[in-house]
Amino acid sequence: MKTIIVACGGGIATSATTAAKINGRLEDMGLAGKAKAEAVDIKSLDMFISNADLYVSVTPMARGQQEYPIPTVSGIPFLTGIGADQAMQQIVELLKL
Amino acid sequence: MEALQVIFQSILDMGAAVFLPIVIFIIGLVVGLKPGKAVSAGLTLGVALTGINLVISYMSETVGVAAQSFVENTGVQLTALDMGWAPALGLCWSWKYAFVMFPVQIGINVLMLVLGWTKTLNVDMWNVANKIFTAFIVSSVTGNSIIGFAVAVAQIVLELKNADATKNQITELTGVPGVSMPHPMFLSNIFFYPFARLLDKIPFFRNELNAQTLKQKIGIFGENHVLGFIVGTIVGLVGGQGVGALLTGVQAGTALTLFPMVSKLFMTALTPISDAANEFIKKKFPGREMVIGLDWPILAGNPEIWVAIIFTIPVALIVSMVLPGNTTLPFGNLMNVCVCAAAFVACKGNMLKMIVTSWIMVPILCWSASDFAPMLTELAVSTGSADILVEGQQLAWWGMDIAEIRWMIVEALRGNVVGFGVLAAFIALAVYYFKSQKKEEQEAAVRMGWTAEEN
Repeated sequence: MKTIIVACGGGIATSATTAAKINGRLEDMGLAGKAKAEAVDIKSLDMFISNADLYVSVTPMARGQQEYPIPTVSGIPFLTGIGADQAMQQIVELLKL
Repeated sequence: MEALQVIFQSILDMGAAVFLPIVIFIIGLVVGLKPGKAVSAGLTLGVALTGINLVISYMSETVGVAAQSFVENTGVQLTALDMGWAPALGLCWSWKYAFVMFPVQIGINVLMLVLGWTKTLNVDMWNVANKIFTAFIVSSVTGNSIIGFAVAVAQIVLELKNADATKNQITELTGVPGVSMPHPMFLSNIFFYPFARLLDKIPFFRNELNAQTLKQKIGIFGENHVLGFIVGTIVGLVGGQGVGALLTGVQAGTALTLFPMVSKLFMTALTPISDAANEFIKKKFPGREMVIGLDWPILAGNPEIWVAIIFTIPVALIVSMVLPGNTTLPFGNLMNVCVCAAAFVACKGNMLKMIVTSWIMVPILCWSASDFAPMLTELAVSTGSADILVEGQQLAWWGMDIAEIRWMIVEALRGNVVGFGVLAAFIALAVYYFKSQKKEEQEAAVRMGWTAEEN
């Protein structure tokens, strides 16, 4: 079971929405037993990221690039609905599901 | 027929945790979810609501009891405990008309899209609760839920207008095109933006601090369990618990860690339903230029927001103890995003200006939270059981979104002349604000190298 984490300001609303969408897609693709997305609090991201296989970021920044120790995919497409299929494909490929 | 009525009434009597899952199940079927998924979504919402009640009750028995001895020891009347935004907005769903807000928000948004009054399609379903909260408070004060909904409708319209008016700036800050931010907190910028412009006149505020370095140094204080531990231990010590204060600290950290865990179940439940609703809307309006309205956290990567929040915590705790008329102990919402994330946009990321804005807001957050606490307490008691709270204790939401605007409306509706005065100032500043945003948007577009007709 691979762990995907999504972080937002409180680990409650935006991250949970994104995680629910990813989990829904995993289920539709028959991959629900292989990976699971979880919402976490960005303030404790360092604690969670060490135990995760993939980070889905919904906090893009135009200035000041962030670097993460694990593979990272943008989660914005899941929120806007634009480009979500490609983002999901990227997740599946990175995790080799 | 009579039997049906008896069944229906007894379901209603069991409260929102039983009633809401049924409502969600039916809505789920209506928007085209498979029955299994609709059942799961409904039950998840019931679990979320019950979970929130459980943690509120735990918080009351631990931190709440410590806060009561704190009150006895110091004579400072902090009888209302701040539970934070997630449980407060979660609780809103148990208001009897809460679910009407779903079709109201979607309906107004679609109507405004059709009429060309907005370009934003707000897909942020969590913050439907923020409109429910407004309607609930106004209804409680006026005793008239029609007025409550009227104010909520005004909020929906203003949110969409503000999202339209700032979308280039949001794109510049996030690097994401085609999104806007209809979160209510950004309406506070009607006050914050002119204030930030005023601060520009003082040379001191032109200094820029390095937020990233500061955040690495003090970021640990912003983690729920650490912050909860510190505040709980302080409350316990002042409450005369001695070494036992450490246990209150751990319990406070537990409450703050568990709240997000149960609250996020709301979105797990609501996401499939909002997905289905949005698909429906997008299918009805193919080819229409739409900007997708998102919740605030796409700004959450900016360290300035977190540093300004942490710098406000000691001020909030001290002011709450000395401010006349305040009864609220800030606790669950000490990491108060609503002011600092909005001010981040208004102050263009200048941390000094953000911190001053945030400090000035502290007394307003205290007074408004204390004013609304009895209403929130009643709502909490009505959903769970009467013994959810320790005797003599109230629940509050310190640092609620648009605290100053909600309080202004409530005071005006109570016939308070100050409320009308602030309302008049609000309208005048809103005119200035929206006019200024046109210039800000133009400048943002130029900085991003967009052509003139694209904005």
